[in-house]
Amino acid sequence: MPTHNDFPTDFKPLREPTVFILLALSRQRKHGYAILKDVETLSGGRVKLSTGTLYGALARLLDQGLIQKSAEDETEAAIPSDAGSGEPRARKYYELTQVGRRVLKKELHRLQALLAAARQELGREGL
Amino acid sequence: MARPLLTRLYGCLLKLYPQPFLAEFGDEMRAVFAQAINGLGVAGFPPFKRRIEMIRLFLKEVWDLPVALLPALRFSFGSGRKDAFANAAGDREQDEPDAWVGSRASWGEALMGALPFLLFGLAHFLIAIHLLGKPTDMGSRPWLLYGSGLLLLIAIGLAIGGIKGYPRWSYAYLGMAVFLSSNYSNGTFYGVAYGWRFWVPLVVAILLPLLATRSLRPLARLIQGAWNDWTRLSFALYAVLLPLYTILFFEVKWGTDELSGLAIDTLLLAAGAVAFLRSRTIWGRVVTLQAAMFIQACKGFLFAGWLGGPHFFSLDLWIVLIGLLFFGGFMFLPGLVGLLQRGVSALSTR
Repeated sequence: MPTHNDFPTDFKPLREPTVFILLALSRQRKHGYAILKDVETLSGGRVKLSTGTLYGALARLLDQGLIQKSAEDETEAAIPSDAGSGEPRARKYYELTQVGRRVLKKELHRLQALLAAARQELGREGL
Repeated sequence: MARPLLTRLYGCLLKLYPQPFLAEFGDEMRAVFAQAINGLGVAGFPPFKRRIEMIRLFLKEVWDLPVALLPALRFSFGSGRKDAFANAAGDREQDEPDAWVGSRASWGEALMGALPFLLFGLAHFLIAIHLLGKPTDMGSRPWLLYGSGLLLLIAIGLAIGGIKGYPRWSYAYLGMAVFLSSNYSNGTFYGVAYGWRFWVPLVVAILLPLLATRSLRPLARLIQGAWNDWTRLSFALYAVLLPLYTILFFEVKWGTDELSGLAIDTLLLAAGAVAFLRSRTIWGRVVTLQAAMFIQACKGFLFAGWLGGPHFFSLDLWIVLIGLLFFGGFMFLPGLVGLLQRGVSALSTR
């Protein structure tokens, strides 16, 4: 797993939901439901994640060291008791690591380069 | 009405995810799903449309399940598994040195420990039904079919034990797997000797926990467990008893009398395994294993008396007797080392 100091050079192009998850976390730490809603908003309603795909992606990103869990907030944002059984539980928050931030930037640069190349090529052909 | 039902169905769906993944994310996933369902009410949909949207939300979870399972499995067998492994029962034992010996297995663990004996009995019962009245022969089909099936199941049990940090019950799987692999690798099936191939399930079962945790930690725990509680080795040897007894002494022919004998042996030794695992002390464990073996031997001699004298066994009765005494003593040795170890440590602390 990459550490904060080791920038990974072998990351393949990220998949669209992954980019949106990292983007959702780029400004501030967020809990699962907020990430889910942000991904939907950022993609203009095109990418709607199920909880299974969201947490599968979060598990992978945690494993790769691109995101990390931040301190749980036990007061203001506790999960309501009707969400599960028993007492309200503390919500878990996720945030980007330094490595995650750099990987996101690298991916956005890659996409920008791709877009620029496509525009140039299409402009040349007058499309 | 739809909300509680869908939440309950979602709970059932979550059970399909691997346990380490659920332990890490299960509560959050349940909460996020409930929030998403509640969010539809806030969004101001009319009741009918809201219900349709709720069902659509649930169906999306079902649809995405195969894709979502892949990273969940990767997490469970990857680095996330390491944390789960670190929290396994074994680490409680490490924190409390006395717990290696003094902890009592739960009923579920005791059943897991008895399972190899029951599986062995079942497999040989099936073999015997095929061979009823015929001479037993290693070249026949049932031996290959049920024998290798049994070995595979025992190896799976051993692998599960390895992933759980080799708790006490898993040593029975180890003993039986080693014995069966050794026995089958020396045999021939349809005139073909498979040799080392019968060792493959055992090797895979030992390698799998190492790969799952990406460390030598499971192997270390296997040795550590035997060192701190020597009766675990006695239990591994005890697991050899039923196959040894069956293979050595009932090789002449299979009949209904032999089948009833096998059923009694299976239940007796399985009960001995449960008593061993539920016992708290070294003495208790040594006594339960020896007692089960003694009762089994008595049963063997009683059957021999009823069913036609010493030649009921494929060997002479006195050889059987010496063999049993030798094996009993051998099985007692690890327990004896454990008792001495405890005695020495008790003296040194005074």
